[in-house]
Amino acid sequence: MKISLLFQLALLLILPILIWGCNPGQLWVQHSDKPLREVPTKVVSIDPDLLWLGRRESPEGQVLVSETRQAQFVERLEYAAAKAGIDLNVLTPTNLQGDDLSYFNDLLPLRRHIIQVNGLQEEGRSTSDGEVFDRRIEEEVLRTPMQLSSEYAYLAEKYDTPYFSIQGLVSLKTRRKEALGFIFLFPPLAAAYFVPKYHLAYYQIVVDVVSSEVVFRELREVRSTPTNMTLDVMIYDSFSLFKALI
Amino acid sequence: MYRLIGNLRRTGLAGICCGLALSLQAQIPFEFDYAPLRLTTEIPIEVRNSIAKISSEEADADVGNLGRDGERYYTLSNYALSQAMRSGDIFFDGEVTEYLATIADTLLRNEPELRAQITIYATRISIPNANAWRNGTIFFNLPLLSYLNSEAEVAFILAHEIAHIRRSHSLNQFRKVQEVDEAFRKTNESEKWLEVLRFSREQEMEADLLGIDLILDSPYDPAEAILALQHLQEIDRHTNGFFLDLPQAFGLDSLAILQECQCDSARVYRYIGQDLARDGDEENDQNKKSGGNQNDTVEEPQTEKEELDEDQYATHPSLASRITALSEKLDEVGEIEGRARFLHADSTFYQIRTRAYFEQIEKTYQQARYASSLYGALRMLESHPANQYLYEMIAQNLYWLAFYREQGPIKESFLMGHPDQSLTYGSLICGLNQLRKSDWEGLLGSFLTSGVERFPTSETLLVLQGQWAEMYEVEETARTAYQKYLELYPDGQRHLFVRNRLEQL
Repeated sequence: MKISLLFQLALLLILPILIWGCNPGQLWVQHSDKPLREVPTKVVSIDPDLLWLGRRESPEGQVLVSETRQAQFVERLEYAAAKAGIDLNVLTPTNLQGDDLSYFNDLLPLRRHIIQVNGLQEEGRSTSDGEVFDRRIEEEVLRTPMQLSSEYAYLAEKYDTPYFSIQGLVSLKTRRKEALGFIFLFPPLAAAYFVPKYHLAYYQIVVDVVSSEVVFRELREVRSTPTNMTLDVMIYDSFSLFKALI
Repeated sequence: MYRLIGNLRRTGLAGICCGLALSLQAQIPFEFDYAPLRLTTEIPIEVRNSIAKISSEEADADVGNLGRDGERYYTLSNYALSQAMRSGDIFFDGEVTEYLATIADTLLRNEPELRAQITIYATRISIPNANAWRNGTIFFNLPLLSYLNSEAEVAFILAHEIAHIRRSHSLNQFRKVQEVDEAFRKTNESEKWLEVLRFSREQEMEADLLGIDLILDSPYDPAEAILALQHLQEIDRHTNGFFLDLPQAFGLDSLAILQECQCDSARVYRYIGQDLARDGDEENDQNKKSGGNQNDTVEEPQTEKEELDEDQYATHPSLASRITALSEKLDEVGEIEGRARFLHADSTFYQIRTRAYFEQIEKTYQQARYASSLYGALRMLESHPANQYLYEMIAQNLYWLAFYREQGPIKESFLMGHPDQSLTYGSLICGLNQLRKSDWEGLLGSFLTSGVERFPTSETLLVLQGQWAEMYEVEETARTAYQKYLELYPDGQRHLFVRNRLEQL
């Protein structure tokens, strides 16, 4: 009898975790209506971004943790891209050699340009009817892809690939304040307040510098901590989708 | 004292004009072309080192004697510095950085130990400013250089920044924040920051006075320090710069359409942020309009009294009070003869300053501030009418403005943000904004045609001509332009793009 009561109590406590834990996340993909010009065997990634928010660390602690996590993110990018059959060349300031001047002379201006184009050409895109697989997976095909300046075309020969990309990861930890609303309705559900809520968003933009177009953009979000496995799955899937555009 | 400043200003400006005229007569820097600055030697190790590694070494050594707070101070300051160093806006080498270093060598020729601690970088950061970092790094932003008129003025700015490093002002500021954090724990947050800002203004004044001491010990003319501050005043008033004569600049036949735009004064004022309708004062409006038309400036100069009143929210004291303090100090010292405005050839300074103008055109283009970059290029075209780079930049800016115009109304971010808030700039953006979609095709097309005639071997102009023709569906012209490009540059910078376009056509 006692065991049964304990079991019921434990179940009541686990219930909110199960309810709030079941969240499949979202995926939004946008790509050109033309197939890729070449099989993407190599992609250059320019300084992946990482934002680490909502933790309890002090400001200096956040700087140090972000730096460590950034290195981890770069490792996962290389690993998961390789699994998807892509040689990802990640360039960040910390893995440069002293004579890698092209990073500052060529790649950072390209990175800045990609970000600008993504913001400035966001509106007024002509798309086919967006294909919505379900509420959480959406694919848009662009009839007129976002256009880059042609001045970066020479990078294709320099880096032996026309594909350049930027990736980013945002990890956020918050409290489930909404759970407090259950304190009078169904108190066990209010226990979820003590279970932190995690958001993990990953984005990737790939451009072809020869056609001077953005060929692939995606944003995905899951409710999870940034474990190696979660990151590997997200990154692998992202590169697989990109590769399938050939 | 102010008579002295006036005399200094007059003689200084007269000298500058003569010097500029002579140097221009002798040789115009970058008369025919310009290549934007690029890194050529090596990326400094500080850029590549991990923040954690550097910070933990510094916290262990704890030169600032900060104890438990050391980790916080060193980590956060290293983080801020590394963000700037990794931004791509810092020139770790090159002509300007080397020039600034030689000035610092002169200033600190008697203090080799301090000189060894200091590294100076020119930057492409768009704010006209210089700043010193805790570890001895000084950033000298190129836009600031474009406001100065002599090597001695540059020397004073550097001397001011060196004084910040000599007195560890960054560390003192951190300590002050800790101190007021403790003292003002139970009071209003704003009081705390007002106290920190007051302390910051004290430090800036101290840096000025120490800076002038350094100048007095050097071969540079100390009177130039006051001129430097006066030029900073001009930045504050947004009225600096030599103004483009709109009809003359747009006298370029290919841009004639812009002259036909009907932009009345009120509209132009609105574009440059001076909403005349706001105060509803007709007389004031009329004054502003007539004053604007005559002087091509927007803001009335502040009175000396207004400037002397300290702004309690400012990090720096007012420039008027800084000029007064320096003047008093120089009055005490008395007249000094035989000091130099230039130690290098003055042509070196003018070349570097001209480079600063060109780099601003490049930077604003990179920032997608197309109207601002276009304006800068048109302005430079007055003194450099044969410069190919300027034609290319005008064409690139017009291309992107036309491209975005095809998608909808021109975005405000393209039009705003030039530091030179003159009526001429307002007229330009007003004109651009009034053009209809169909006008853009003609405007860009005629400019590219005349550009290619003038510079038939320009890679950029040829490719843009092809892209323009594609944008407006004139396929034959596009094909011709692309084929001409490939004939001239079979392995050119954009040959892969051009080949791809030809396949698509």
